[in-house]
Amino acid sequence: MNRIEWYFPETIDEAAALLARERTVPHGGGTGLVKSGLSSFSGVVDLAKLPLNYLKMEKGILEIGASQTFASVAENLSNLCPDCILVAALGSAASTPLRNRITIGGSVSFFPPWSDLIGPFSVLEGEICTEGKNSGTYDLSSWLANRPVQQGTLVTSVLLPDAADWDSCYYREVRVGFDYPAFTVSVVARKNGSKIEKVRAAVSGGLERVTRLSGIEDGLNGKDLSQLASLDVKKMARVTFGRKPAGSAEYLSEIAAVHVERCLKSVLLGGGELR
Amino acid sequence: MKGSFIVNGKKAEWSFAPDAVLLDVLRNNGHTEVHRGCGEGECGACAVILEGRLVNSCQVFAASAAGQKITTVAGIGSIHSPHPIQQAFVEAGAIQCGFCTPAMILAVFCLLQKTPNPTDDEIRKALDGNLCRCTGYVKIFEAVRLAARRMSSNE
Repeated sequence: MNRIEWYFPETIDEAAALLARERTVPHGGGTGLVKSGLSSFSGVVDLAKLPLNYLKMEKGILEIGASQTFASVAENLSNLCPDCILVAALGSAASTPLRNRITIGGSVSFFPPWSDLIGPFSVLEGEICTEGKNSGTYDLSSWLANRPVQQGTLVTSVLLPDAADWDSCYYREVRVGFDYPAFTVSVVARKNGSKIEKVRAAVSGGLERVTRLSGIEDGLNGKDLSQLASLDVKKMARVTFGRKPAGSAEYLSEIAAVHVERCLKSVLLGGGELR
Repeated sequence: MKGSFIVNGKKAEWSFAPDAVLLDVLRNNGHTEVHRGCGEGECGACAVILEGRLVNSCQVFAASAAGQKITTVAGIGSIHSPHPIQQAFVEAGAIQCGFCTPAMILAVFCLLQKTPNPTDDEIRKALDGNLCRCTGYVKIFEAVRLAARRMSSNE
């Protein structure tokens, strides 16, 4: 086995400098590196001492530090804005002991196919803030499209504009609670009386990792609620899947569309959370 | 590499490989009350309390836990002086093979510290990472309710 050195930086600059080294990887505390193993790395930069364990709302923008765990985010947000879709999504991800370890920064770095963060992140149109080699702010599509940008780069926080200002529905397709979801459905909307001001919908877990349902969004934005009945939502919500243990590609595509329709009805017409 | 830990209130300094997980380091140093189950973070048999939070010790690098406080089931009670949760598990018959019990009790310990009178949904959520394949959970839920009642009323 390679000799592996652990580093415990206390500043972001120090961490960024360490991550610029060859074969050096950040570790926020989650399970990704434990599962993949350290054999291909010579250095591990532990992020626990960095000042990234925070969550704040300023001028309507929610900023979550990379070291916040899923459990902490769900707990903190349940006081700050209990209807935020992240409360339902991150509060139901994995299991209690895993939610206590999985961090926002680690999850953004990996965005695994079973991610409970990527769907809500997509509909909230979040941004990823980084320091180090590729310091900057990235939207989700540019982040996912350019994996090399993550090399030697430290995720410091995520920004979620207007995160509290939506009605929402989150659904995860699982057989038992702590299963990896085969797919997730995220829907957020704002209404004014019977008018739909804005609706956003996304399905994760398909071949595209996360798919924004722009056809449905365009068909409903600015329209009356009655417009929902005239759209063939199940057809418009079709997402392409690969085969998974939870079912065939066709089956997953079909039931994902059913749950998109249910989530839209729940958010736009009432009826509360589905799960 | 070396790291110091505070385990059940006592300071310990142990040597371990850079990629060792906390579960192995604890067990290699005598804490066999921490059980090895799936090794994948799914069964919860290896759960310990790390800085006040329940974690799967098989999914935590020992290096990243250095300097922190760890509580195993041996840190909350003993056979001669059981914690009310342990007593409730015995009285409710919430134990069959006992393999999941140490971690299950720690999960309940964390729950009742935060939520002294939990609803069934809150119990379900708190135990969602701890699998029991003997009792079917009914007795475990009874034990949690019993422990909550006793701890709330100082019975």
